[in-house]
Amino acid sequence: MTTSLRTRIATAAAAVASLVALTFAIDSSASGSRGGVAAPTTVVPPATSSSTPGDGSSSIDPSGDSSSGSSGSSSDQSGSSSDGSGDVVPVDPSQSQQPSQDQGSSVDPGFGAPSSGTS
Amino acid sequence: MLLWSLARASAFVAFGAYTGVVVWGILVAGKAFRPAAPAVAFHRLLGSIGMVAIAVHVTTLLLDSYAHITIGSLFGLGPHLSVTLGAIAFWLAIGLPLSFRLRQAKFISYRVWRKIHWAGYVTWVVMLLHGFFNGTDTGSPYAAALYAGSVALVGTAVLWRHFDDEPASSPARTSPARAE
Repeated sequence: MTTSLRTRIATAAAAVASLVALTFAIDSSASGSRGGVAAPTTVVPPATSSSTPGDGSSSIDPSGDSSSGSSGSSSDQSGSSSDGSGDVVPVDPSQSQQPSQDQGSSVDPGFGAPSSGTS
Repeated sequence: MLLWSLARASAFVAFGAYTGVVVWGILVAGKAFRPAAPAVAFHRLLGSIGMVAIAVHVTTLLLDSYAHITIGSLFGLGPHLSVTLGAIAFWLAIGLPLSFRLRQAKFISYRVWRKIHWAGYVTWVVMLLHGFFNGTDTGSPYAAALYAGSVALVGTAVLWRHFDDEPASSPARTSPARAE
């Protein structure tokens, strides 16, 4: 078994070809997305222009249901929160967010987090 | 996006090359090739290809801002153990050929070089763990096939050498540094 210059060149060429082929295969496939890497968390800044301070009407409900909560109002502060599914679950009042009249700045960045102490 | 794809592709090429390095090295050490010198040269060629692929992998990850890999990550500074494993593999992959140069220059003895060279197995295992736990493609069939095939190849080579080497274990083992 000898390792001639031809063998070396062929091996190196095969490696380069593999690299190029794999790169384009990955890039063009559906798995070429960045799904496997944790994306940086981005919190959407609160929309201040669409709310009136003190009215508690601007809290974001991840369920998309603006009437979640037994009172049908997002400004209620009885210590319950929306889990994003539209259901109302009780939360420990000591762990709830600041109650508020300042709910114009309250943003729920994810599911399960207390939205605004609404019920 | 191309940088990200290139980073992933180069990781596969690097791992494949190092699997070849380990398997070929086992065959050389088990005296499967006579004369040994050309086989050792091929072993080193595969190592060089793996090193280039690692360089591409690291460079593209550093340039791709989305991957969050920094220079500090190369020194194990990061929250993820799997990335630290990659950093360990990176430095081991640099250290192994360096030890070969030191042996050629007579800075270290053959015995010391041989002990250092055992780290080649560790390097390969660390690379495997890094790829398995940190790789984006770990769940894909082709990645699973590569990992399983590589483990099977290296495992077979190790078993072959273990059983083939028993009656012939003698101190007069071929030194790649001498074979050059």
